[in-house]
Amino acid sequence: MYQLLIINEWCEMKVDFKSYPDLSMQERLKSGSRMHPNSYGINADLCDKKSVNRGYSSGSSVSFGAAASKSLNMLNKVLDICEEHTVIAQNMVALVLAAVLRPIAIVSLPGKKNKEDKQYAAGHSIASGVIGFGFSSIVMSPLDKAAAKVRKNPTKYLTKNQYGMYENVRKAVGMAPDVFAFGILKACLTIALIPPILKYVFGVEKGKKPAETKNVEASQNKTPEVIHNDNNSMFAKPKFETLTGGQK
Amino acid sequence: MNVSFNTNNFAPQYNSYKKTNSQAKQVSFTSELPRQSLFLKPFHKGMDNLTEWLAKNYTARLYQSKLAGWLANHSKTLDSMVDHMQVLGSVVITGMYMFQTLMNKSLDDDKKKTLAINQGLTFAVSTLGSYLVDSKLDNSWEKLTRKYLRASNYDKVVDDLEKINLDEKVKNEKLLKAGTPKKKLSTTNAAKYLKQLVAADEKAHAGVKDFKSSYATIASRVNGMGTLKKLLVFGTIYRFISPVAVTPIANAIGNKYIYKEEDNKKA
Repeated sequence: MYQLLIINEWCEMKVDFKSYPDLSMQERLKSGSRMHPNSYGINADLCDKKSVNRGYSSGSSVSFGAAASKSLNMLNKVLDICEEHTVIAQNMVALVLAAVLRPIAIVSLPGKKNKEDKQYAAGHSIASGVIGFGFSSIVMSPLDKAAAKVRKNPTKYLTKNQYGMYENVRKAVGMAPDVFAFGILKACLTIALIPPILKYVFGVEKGKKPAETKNVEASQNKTPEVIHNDNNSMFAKPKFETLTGGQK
Repeated sequence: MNVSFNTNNFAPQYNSYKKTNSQAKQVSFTSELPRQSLFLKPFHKGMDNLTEWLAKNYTARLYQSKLAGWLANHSKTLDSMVDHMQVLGSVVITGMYMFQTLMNKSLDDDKKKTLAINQGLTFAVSTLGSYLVDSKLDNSWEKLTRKYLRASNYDKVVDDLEKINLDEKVKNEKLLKAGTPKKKLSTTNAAKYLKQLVAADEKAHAGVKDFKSSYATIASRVNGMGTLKKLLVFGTIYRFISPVAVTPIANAIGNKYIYKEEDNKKA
């Protein structure tokens, strides 16, 4: 009963950040709530939050300070990756967009006629995202580490002590191999790996039906390899597969 | 801040019991924990040798090449290279797809041209859109960066920065009142200001060996904020918005021409 009274009283409290102007954000968050419930800059409407108000006294503790600190640490890690390993960060963003969001959006677009085309486009998108990220992580990781070594100790590696000048082009130089040398290679690899990825990983078997209906008699005498090489087989590309522009 | 709903916390007997028990359960471990796996040690060593070789023979050479020198001289005024490099990457890949389309023998000449123009236009629209959205987001992203700085206990940096920008604004208004022609207000952003702070720190400690400014880490992270914005904007437009927006258009063209032709042939 005593606890319920305390919680009820606490829920009605309004807070004011300005009453503690000399404290930083983390200090405000870390400061004891039981001592100063007003000290954490938000309306203390805990009773309305289902995630917080568990309705029983199980001894669980809810730590806002720890949560804020955790998310800040996570953001710091993301920012470090963006700054230090830009290529990997770029491919991570591409992975999320191309392997998750784009396929969902493409498949959920209206239109029943082009169902197979949409499946193929979604499979292509997933393949390009996964290959781009995997390839860049494997190939660019040693190059990134080498660049980090030069950045941390320029006097050891550079004869001309002009690292300040090269700092301007650090990102351009770091991204150059991925953009120019590996960009085309990645695109070729993506195209080459789409059929097996579609078949074995995603279960999208393009053009299987027409192949079965057209070549029923012929397929009886053919080996599986021959069927796979047929133009009407599951590996045939859709007509407008090449229409999508930008980076694939 | 810990918020506890545990009623037992109000019972001093339980607290003292918990304290004594937790002390009794604590195991003192003084030995050093292994940092790296012995199994992976040869791999780490090999990787270290490889990166060392790359640093000497690839990265250092590339940094000191004439191309890097030329690029450094011509990119002094640019805030970031990330967006331009992403556009260059898109130029390479779109160019390759256009070339592949034009060389495709199974397509008619008219179709080839239509497809290649479509790919080129998609790239152009995506690039323009990306630059436009990126520039429109500048102010909001700067506000977010300042919030991040405050959350990371750099309130003073933000306050100083805001004061500098306010002073600049007042100075500009005075100049305008005095009759000088209107000029674009030069505002200092957080990344620029932190870069200045790091440079000033390093200049002040020029003789100190291995000196690292106390602002170096946060300056790098704020730069990372800018990079993250460009990656998100350009990535979203190139890899999500434009391909998804083009898909129904491509399907409509496909339905109108290609499937129609096939139906006619069958008939």
